[in-house]
Amino acid sequence: MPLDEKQVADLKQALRRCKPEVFEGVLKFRNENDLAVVPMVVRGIIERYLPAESKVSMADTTSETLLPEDLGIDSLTMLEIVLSIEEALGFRIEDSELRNIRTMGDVTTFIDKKISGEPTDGPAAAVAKKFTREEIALIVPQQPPFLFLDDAVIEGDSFTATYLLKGDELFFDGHFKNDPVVPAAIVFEALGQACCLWVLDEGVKRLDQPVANNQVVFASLDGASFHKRAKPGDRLEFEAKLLRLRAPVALFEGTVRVAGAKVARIEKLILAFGDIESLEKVAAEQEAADQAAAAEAAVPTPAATA
Amino acid sequence: MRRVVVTGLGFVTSIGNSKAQVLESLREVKTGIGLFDEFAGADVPVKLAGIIKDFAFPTIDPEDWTIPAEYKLTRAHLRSMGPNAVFGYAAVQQAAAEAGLPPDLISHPRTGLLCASAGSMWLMYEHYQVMMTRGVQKCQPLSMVASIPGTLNINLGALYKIKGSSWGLISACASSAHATGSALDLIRMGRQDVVFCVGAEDNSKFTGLPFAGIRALSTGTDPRLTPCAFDKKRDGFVFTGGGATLVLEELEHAKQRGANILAEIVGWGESSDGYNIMAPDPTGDGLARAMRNALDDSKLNPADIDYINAHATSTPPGDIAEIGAIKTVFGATTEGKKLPYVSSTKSLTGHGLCLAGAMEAAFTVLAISEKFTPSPRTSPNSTPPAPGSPSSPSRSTPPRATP
Repeated sequence: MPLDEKQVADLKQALRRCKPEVFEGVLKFRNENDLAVVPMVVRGIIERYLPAESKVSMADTTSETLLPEDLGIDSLTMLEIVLSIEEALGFRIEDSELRNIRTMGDVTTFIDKKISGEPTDGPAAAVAKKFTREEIALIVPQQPPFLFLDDAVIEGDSFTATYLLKGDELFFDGHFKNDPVVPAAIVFEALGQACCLWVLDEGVKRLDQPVANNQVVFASLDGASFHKRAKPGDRLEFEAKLLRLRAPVALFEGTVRVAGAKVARIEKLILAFGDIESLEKVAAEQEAADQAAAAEAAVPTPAATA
Repeated sequence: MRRVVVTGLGFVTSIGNSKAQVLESLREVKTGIGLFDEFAGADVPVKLAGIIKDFAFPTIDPEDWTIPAEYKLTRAHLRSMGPNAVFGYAAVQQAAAEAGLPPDLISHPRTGLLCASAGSMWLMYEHYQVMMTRGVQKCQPLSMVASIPGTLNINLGALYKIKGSSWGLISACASSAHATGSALDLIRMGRQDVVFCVGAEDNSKFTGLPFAGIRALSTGTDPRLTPCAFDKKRDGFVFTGGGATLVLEELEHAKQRGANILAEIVGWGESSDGYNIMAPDPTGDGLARAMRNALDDSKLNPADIDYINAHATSTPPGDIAEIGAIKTVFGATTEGKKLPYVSSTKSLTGHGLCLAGAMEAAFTVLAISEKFTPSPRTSPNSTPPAPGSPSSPSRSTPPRATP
């Protein structure tokens, strides 16, 4: 859609410190969808933000020119450039798209992909995100001594985590007498904690509402099976995957292993998130409805008694 | 106890942007008040402000700003700064130069930075506008850093590579007086040897004009008559922005490096009157206790004091309470007692809010080191002073230079 008068005036103001051809180019792109001008516009905007002390001028840059080291463009200036490009070209650039941009060549490739509609933060760009125990504790509501994750890696819908059973965990004292074995409930809890981490770190990015870390609860476990005992000194390895995310629930499947041997498996683990009181109310209503249905089903029909 | 002296001053004020200009204005009683273009318009009841010259901030884009060339601030520096931080930076540069502090003493674990400012209300307003109308992702990345009250410590701390104490004080118009007193304490306690005390405020309607909402600003329009501390016709204060810096330094430290000593700070006092959010206790009880605390701390008697640079902002209740407190402590009604000379330099500069304490402490140091007494303005239509006002001195002697 062609720009209206105010948009043109705003753009002119926003680009007033760039060379005049940058503004002309932006108009061509926005009004006539002329893609050929985009690289010039982007270079023009970067040039405007070159620090005065920069030793390299735009004309000297090659595709290998490094933005921070050679041009003196630090991460803050990069953000300013991004804001300016978004303003000028009218598209949105996500933080994740910027992660791999280091050189002028990366800039050109990025812009080419952006205007051709290719994904710019595809699998190659989606770096696996690693968490330490300390980082996990900052995200999830569970805290030591009830945090059963030592580290975790989230990669899109899939995630893994591990937990070393140190032997000093409280439950070993009584479970069992002179025979410490990790309770099955704790194994499922730990897998649930990994799922909780996924919801609070990755899930929230895909939701259009914020989720507080005290707003994630277990909703249900289905198809849970236990295969092998785990003891102090064993490292629990969790591997899980999101199957469906739709507010207010996230559905996962997951497996727990020790040294590759299956300890437990859950086919359906559902976490609910959002305002817990209203979630519980919905659950209570569901329960009442189920009971009513069950009661009805239990009433013997005349035919059956006969 | 470790003794503390002042070795450097810096000024960006309505009466001058250097020590020489400020000295000339104070000696010749030149006002810095003028009609403020940001107060134009029929709906603005206030017209006067202390006018800062040589600096201009027409838009929020630092590349549109006018800053004198001796302050070498690049775009990369300015994007995290508001006018208050620019003023503070300039005042520190002057003060460090006068104190003769080399870079390795400015950036030293024993050199600190205490700052006072309300923050850049103007930039905060502009950036919140962007956040609320266009979304937070459209905000300039450093808009928060440039706006918040801590902006002076953040910016000056990084620009001057401060390695010692770096903190801010917020106690409204007492803020930079508190900064100066706290700096004195830090050096006395042995925690620092040198401290920059900085007060700074934007010269913007966003910082000053809201005081018209509580009717604290004068509606006068003649800069020769307004504000008029202690005067019968006083009707409120006149706002000013700017920046002021004092370099406080341990006496032996200053002597050892051969620094020029401008004055000694021998003590300070504080108190509260626990009375009202805006109005002072009309008896001046809290103020009197602060004055006594300062005398006790410095082991001086009331009769030792030659000059008081009063807070006197020219509001009707404020000046009355201050007169009451000065009378209580210095016994103005007792026959034959030596009385200090009292004046309010705010009548020339306007009231600098968080900047006021440091600015006026710096003026007073200047008066001591240059051996003159800042006088109240004599206007062509001078009105008789309020009854019992100490602004009509019973005697006037040049203040003693200390040490």
